[in-house]
Amino acid sequence: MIRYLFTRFLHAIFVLWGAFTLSFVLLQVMPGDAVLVKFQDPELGLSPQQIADMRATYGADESAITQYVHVLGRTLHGNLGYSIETGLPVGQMLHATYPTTLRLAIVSFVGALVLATICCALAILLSGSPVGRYLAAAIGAIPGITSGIPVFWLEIVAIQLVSFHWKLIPVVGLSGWSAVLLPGLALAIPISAPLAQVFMAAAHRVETLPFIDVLRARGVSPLRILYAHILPNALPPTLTVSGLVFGEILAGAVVTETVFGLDGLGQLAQQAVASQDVAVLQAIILISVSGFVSIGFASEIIQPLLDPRIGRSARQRKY
Amino acid sequence: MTRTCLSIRDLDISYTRHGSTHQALNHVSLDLNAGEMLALVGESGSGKSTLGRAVLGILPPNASVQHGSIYIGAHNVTHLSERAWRQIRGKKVALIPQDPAHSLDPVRTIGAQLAEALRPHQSGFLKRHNTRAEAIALLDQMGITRPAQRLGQYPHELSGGMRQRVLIAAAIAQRPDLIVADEPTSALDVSVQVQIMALLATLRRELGTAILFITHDLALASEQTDYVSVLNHGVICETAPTRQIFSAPQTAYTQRLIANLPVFHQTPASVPDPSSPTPPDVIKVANLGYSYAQTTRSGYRHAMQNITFTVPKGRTLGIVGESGSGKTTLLRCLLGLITPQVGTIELLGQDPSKLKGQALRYLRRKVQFVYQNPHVSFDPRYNALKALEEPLINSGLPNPAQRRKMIDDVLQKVHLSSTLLARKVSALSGGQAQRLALARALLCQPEILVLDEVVSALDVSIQSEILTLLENLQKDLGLTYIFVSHDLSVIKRLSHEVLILQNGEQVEYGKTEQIFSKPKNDYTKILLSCIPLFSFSTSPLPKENEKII
Repeated sequence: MIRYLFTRFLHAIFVLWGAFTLSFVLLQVMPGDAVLVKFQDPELGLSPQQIADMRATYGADESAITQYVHVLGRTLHGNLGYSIETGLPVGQMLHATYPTTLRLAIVSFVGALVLATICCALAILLSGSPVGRYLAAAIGAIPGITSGIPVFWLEIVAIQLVSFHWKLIPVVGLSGWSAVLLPGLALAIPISAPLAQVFMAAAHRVETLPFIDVLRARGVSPLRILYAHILPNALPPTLTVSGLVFGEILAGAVVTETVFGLDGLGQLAQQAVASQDVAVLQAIILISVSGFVSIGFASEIIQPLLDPRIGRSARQRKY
Repeated sequence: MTRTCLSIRDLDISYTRHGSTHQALNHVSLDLNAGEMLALVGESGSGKSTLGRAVLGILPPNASVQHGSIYIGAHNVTHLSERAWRQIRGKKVALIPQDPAHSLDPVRTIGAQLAEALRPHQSGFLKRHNTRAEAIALLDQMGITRPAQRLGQYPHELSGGMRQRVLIAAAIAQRPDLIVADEPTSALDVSVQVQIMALLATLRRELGTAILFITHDLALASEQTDYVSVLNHGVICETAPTRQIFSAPQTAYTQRLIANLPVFHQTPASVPDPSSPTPPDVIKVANLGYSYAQTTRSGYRHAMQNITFTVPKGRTLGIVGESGSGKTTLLRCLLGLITPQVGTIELLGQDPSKLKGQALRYLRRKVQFVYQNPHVSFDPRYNALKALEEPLINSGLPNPAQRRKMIDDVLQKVHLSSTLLARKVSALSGGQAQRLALARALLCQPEILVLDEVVSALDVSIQSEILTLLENLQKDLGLTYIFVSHDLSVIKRLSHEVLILQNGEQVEYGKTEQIFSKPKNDYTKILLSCIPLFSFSTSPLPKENEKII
């Protein structure tokens, strides 16, 4: 097991390095650089000589390889560099913004999982009765609809209804978890769609397996069959998909933080792209890649706990 | 006075699908007393499983009871609500399912599932000490070794026979009066089948449980049962004490079923004339061995070792082995799918592992394979014609008229109507699809056919037809067969020589009559004793069966 963890760790390091290198190359290929973008503004009235000096200060005039070695070296030492736009250390900027996005991601992911589970449970329970089958079919169609709704529209509607019309949650003046509750839940709706689809498909497949009939013949109630047997069996494929959903959360965070005016990584990314702030962009790419890697890793660790057939090593059991 | 456990009167059940109704059961009546075992025998589509599900109240939503009644003990359960059924299931009536591999929840421990069977209305687990003790006692009663340890194991860690014991333990957990056993042994090896049948016999003797034993296998129905009911297209055509069914079957349908049992075919087909010279060997296998590398530290696992046999042209070698005996590995070697690490194979005078390109493709065409399940061995999107054309096109026969003529010829050989050619393979019956699979193999003009359990998925009457077809094809075309089966009675009917495998080793090899009359090996003796009805077939009159009280 330790050996397995170690190889997985090396694998993760390799993926991070690859992402770092690839993003560096792509950012280099882009015409111009952040220094030019910032200081070429005619209002500043800087001469070409002054701009060239500035570029030398930031190291932007050196060859790509020298820059790469330099940037990789300082990143390995934990120094993410300085933002050209604000002049602040990137680490400091991330530190200020990551909690909001992390909370947003957690709320929307957990919300999406809960929504998907509710959808799935209703679809299974209702399909038992003749009338309920039509309702179950209707529920089965929901993910297809919600995945098609644009996030920003959903969020504007959410603000209109929840904050202005019903006056349940104020839009401004919130901090911490309460600030991400409404945006997180709004984001959860489209995020839940792929989860619900996979969950329902897996649950319907489990439902047709012979052991479900055996349980019914044993006098076990439909509700218990659902929560103790169908859902646990349908969960592993759903979790596999949830790793992919993380990308959608990141993309959704950019829009959501803009709509709700939240100071998160999404906002930061959007500004950094606008101003070609290379150091900030690279740091954000590194963070999202590590997010992907750790979620994939976590789901690989969790899978054998949910499905004993995937177990890598014979585990010690109590009995 | 005996207590009636199950009483079914004039039961009509029909299925509705896309607006049309199909009558599955028609005026079925049955009675079963405490401690009795009744075998409900029928071919696929006869409605036997529908009856079993009706007795448990787990009919699919599109089935409805139109007429008649079902009584379990004193309860009329014909039109019970789901809630009321839950008080009956498990307590009064329980199920032993068909397929132990898929009848336990794969992600819950044995212990958790037994706890649920013991107390289905409480949130289970083994928290309560007496539940745990009861679960251990149940497993112990089922003859499971180290029962306490099993509670923490998951289904995939147990063998098929062990899983079926766990399922039986779960079925009797609440001491029901009636057990519906729906083909409980059809997915198990013969030697395990005998153990499970013996366990059922013990249950009814010791607990007085009535058992409704549903099976497609008339021979198996003769074991342990008191009565046999024969179901044909939803109608019970005969119910009689077990011995009477076999000694004096009343209806034509029952007579035909019994006649089709392979065990009653006394002579192996076409015993070769001893005076004629033995034809040359077309298959020679010497000291064959194959090992799979294992992922664990233990290194290699020998799938088979020291296999040696020869098959003369136009003869049949029957290969018998239970799961894990190495027969699949042997077949894969013969087909050239894997190359054995030890020993040699010679097919039609050539070693497939030394051939390449054109020559290897030629040899592969001469050695054809027919698989157990005909439906999954065809591309489901193909119709029958396209399935047959494929090997011809692959062998470079682009002329459609020529192809059509060859296909018509081969269809005649396997007695399949050419009107079926337009149908999708999935729309063919099991027997038709197996004939089509044979036709596809024959189109390559093979000399050797490797037949892997080709009749095990078929009903006995169809089984008998396919076996006759195989015998005739062998006579007419001089084909050589490698015939793999778990069913010794089928092996006996078709094979000239028999090879018995156990744990990857060849434990017996010789002439069919010799092995069946004078088995040398202990394992062979066990296998022979496991054949249901074997005693019936070797003596002119059914012997007194001691197990029937």
